[in-house]
Amino acid sequence: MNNPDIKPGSFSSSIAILAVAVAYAALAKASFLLTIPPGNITPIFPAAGLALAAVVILGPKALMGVWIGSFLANTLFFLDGSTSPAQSGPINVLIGALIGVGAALGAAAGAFFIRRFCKDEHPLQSGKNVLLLIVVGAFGCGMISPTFGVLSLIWGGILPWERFGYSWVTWWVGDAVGTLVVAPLVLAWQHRHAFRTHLWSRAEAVVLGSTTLLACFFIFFRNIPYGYGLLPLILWAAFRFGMCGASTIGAIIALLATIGASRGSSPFVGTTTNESLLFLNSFLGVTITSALFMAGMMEERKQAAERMFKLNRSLRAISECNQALIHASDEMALLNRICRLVTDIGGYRLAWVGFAEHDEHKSVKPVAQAGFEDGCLEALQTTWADTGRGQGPIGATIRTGQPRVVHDISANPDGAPGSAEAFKRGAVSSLVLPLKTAGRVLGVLNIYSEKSDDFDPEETNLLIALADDLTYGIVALRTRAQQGQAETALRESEERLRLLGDNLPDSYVYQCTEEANGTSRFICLSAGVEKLHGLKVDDVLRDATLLRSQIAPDLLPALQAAEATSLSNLTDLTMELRMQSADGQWRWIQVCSRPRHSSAGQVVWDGVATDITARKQADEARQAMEQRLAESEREYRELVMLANSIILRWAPDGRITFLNEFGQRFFGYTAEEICGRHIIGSLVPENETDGRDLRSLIQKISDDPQKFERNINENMRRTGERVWIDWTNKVVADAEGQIKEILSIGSDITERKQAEEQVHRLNEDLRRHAETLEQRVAERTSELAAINDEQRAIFESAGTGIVLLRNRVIVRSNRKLEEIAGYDPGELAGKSTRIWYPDEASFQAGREMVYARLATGETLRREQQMARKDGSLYWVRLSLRAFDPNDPLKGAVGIVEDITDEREAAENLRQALEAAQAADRIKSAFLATMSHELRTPLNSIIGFTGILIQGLAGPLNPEQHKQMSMVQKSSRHLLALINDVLDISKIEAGQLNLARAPFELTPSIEKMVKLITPLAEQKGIGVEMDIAPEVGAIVSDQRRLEQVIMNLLGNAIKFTEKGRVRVACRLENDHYLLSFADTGIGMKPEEIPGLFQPFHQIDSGLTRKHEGTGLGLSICKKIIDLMGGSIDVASQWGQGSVFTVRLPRQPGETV
Amino acid sequence: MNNRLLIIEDNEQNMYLMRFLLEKSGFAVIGAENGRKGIEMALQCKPLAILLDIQLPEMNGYEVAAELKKHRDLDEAPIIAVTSYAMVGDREQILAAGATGYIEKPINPETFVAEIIEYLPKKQGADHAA
Repeated sequence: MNNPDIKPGSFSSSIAILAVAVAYAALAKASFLLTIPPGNITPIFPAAGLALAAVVILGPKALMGVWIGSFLANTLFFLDGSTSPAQSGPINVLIGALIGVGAALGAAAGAFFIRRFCKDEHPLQSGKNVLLLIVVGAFGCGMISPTFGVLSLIWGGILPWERFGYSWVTWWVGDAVGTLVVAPLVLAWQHRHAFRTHLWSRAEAVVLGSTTLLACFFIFFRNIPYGYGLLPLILWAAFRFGMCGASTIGAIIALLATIGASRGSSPFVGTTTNESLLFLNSFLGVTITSALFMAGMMEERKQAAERMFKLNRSLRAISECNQALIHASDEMALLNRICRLVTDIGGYRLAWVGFAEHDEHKSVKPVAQAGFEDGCLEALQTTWADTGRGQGPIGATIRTGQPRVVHDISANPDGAPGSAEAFKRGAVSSLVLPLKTAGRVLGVLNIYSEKSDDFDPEETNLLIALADDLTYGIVALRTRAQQGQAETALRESEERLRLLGDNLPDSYVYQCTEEANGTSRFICLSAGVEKLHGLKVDDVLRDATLLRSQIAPDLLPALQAAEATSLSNLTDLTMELRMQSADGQWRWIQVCSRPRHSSAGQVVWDGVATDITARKQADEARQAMEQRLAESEREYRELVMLANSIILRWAPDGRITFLNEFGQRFFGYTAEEICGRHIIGSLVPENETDGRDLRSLIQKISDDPQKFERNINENMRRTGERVWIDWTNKVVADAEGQIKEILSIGSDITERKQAEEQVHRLNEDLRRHAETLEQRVAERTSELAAINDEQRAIFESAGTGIVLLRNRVIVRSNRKLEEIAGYDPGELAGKSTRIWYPDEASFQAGREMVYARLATGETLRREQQMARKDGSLYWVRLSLRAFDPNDPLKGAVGIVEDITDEREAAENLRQALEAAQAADRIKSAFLATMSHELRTPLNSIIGFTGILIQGLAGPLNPEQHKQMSMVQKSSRHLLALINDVLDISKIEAGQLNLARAPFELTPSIEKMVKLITPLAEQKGIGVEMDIAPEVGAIVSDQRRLEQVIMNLLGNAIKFTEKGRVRVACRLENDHYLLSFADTGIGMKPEEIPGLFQPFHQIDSGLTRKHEGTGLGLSICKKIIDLMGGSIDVASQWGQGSVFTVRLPRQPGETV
Repeated sequence: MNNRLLIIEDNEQNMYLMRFLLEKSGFAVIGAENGRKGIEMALQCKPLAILLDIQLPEMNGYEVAAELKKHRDLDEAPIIAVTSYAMVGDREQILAAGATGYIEKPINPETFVAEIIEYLPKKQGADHAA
């Protein structure tokens, strides 16, 4: 069976099996419900028909579904149901399974035979196939299932042997009739063509259906005994609606008949069960069999008729198309006609032709159509590009050249845009044919049918032939059209050329060739030949020598040579020829021609001849004139340029018009730069160096040049250099006597002028110098004297010694130095520097070092010991610098300070420091020892007192206990005092080193509060804590901070008699604020300032009441200070105090 | 069951005080008046813990602690320094020398035993606390 609608792989096999099983079980259940009286026997078993149809359609895999369905139906509905004897258990399951095997085998056998004998045809396609289905499928193979089933029931003990025959027959008949009803129904609807129902046809179906229902109602439910009256109705269905109609009406009748029978109201209910069965099943069997057979025959005939009709219409269409092809003259009309013929005569739904365009999108351009509205095909933008949109049948056909058939557009209506449009217009299948010529696909012919699967191979071949004929027609029409166009174009081109040639002014065009005998012959000539030569065109064409004889004889040899060259080299020939025309007039004719080989193998010249007489004459006249002018110009230029003077021409308005070469060189301009500029500002400055106004001079010269025939004035070069020039001016006047320009000729007299000035200036200078010199000498002398006095005063009164050395000898020294060294005034001068050194060795060493240093050019600075006149030693700081580092011996100046006192003071200081440090070390050691030594006895005192009070050494009487408690209290106080004194000492000695490690602040506070709480409770005071949630880690010294917290808490409790103590902590910027507030006695304002001083006692009376060392707050403050924080107090007498500690979260670098 | 504690202490009163308190609490106390003797007794008796004074004649507490640390079979016995050295850095120096605990003199007779038990290895500590 070759049905494209059946695609076993299109849905999952397991789902198919499940569907079959469920449907089978459902049908079985339904049939178990519809039993007929009096024996309550199931008359028909439609599940058997479903099983057969399912296996035919889906193949062997449906068998599993059948088996499962049967098994379920039997085990769930039948074997455990009320109809069976009270028996259950695993044997029923086995029986159910065996019955299922029987059902599956029956369906398998039926399907095998149907497939075997129907081959590729549908099982309902012909009368023969229908018969096969009825005889073999329903009745023949229907025996397998009852055989298995009944035997299984007997084996299982549910049925006695005696009932075998009866049970088998009822089972078999039920299965056979069920198969007759259901199998054709499923197969027919499943195979249904995609068809469009007409309104009329639908109405008819409604009439048929309702008539059938009405008839059934009366017959089966009102018990009117005309059962066979239904036969015409089912035959009507078979004739008019084919297999679908027949099987559907059959199924309705079977269902209603069975329901009717089961209600006992049907004419088929007999007196015995057998009778009822016989009545019902024979009625259904006969009715449905005949209807199916009839429908099968109808189907067969209908198909044959259809095939004939289709072939016929294709042939007619082709015949008409060929007629159209023969008579066609216009391509578009032809294509449109073909499309119309395909639809009108061929009976197809739609047709259109598209050409494959070779543009950017590879579009398919619709050119003709039938059945579509205008523009709808263009809107599709069909393409044949090998892309997503071009994958449809049209694109594929254009690319491959092979026709494509789409059997059923409705299966995939969105597959291609063209198909979707066609589907909207009623098409169901399509054929795309290539229009192919010489291996190239011009386009496609698309034909659409309103039936699915409408293009069988035979018809397709006919239509391919049609497409080929159409292609031939298109090509033939195009060839014809191209030929016509070419001829017209040629004619028009010739006409244009002729007009062009004839209308050339003063020219004509020609074509000429050389004959075998060497003479020339014109092939064609334009009309101008008559105007230029006075010869008729036809005459010249006949006899070329007419033209040649007009050429001036002296030019003929040159012409012949040029012609020979052009002929042999195929180069252009251009000549100007003097020719005498027929009217006797001489003209210059220019001939230009280009040789080429004609198709006949001759050389042909295409040329143009032009009358150039007028141009020739003008050229000659111009040449003569130019020659004369050039000579005149040359003479003048030589004169001017060669002159050794400046020659300048300028207009009366001051513009320079000319400067000769000498002048250009002299002033430093080129002719282009200077011509056109005003004379003032270029060659003549506005003012002379000594002030004469040249602007007005130039104005005067131009106003009246005669008066200034000669003038000497300052001029300027391009570089700005001033030069003196002696000018001679001459006026050039025009015809009316107006001044046209001024000619000035000048010579350079600068050197002469400068020499004169130089002499004058020198005389003047000499005189002035002589006057001032004497005065200056006097002034300078007095200045020097004053400076000398000042310097001497400074030198002598300086607080440090100053000395001038030369060659290691003291040249001069001031009074201070003499005093330092213990000499009398003037005694040092002339002495060697040896006198400063205590001995020869130190002198040598010092000298070497000093002069090596001076040679570097730096100032020597050193402290050294020197000897006085009396031999005693003293310390000096010496600064020494050479005048000339290259030769330090030549001279050096030194400053000498006596630093003996200074050195002594420094030495004393150092000793004092050492002593202090030693004292400090001793103090530290003392403190450590003190601490240790005091603790050792205290250990015994506190320890044993504790033992005694605890009663560890035996009971104490109350008096003893009281006294021992006093000892304990005193000793603890003493210990606290020692600890505090040590802390203070350590802090003041700078020995308290703080650790720096991160820790959580909140637990520390909590720990201290917990420790102090017993003490507070003892006094009946509450301790509150208020720590903000953001309080976290701090980097500090945990032990010391806890000591501070403890101390402040202790103080607060100590000074509070009632009320509460409150500890709060919060974060403010980078600092934690810890506050300790109490409701104690508080302080008076004057008590607060000294609060943090060591050994501060607020009040002697209080000290007695509140024991303490008086050091706690002082220690707290010092620790907090060391941590980089601060501590403050706010208090009111009688109200309480608040101590606030401010601590950085991270200690700064300076802490 | 081992409940021996070794006290290395040169001061007679202090030795007596500690011995008194610890024996009252059920410990067996052995005493050594100098470091050398203390080390000998420690190796011999394998005490539960060693209470060590720092200022000792001949060999000071730091040296004793360092020497004790060399013996692996004493690893379990904590060395608890009981000392009057309460200056800056003393505590750190003593712990660095190998002591496990540090108790400052003067001791508090009410809490001293509890402090010692706190330093003992937990098993035995629990027994005595009960």
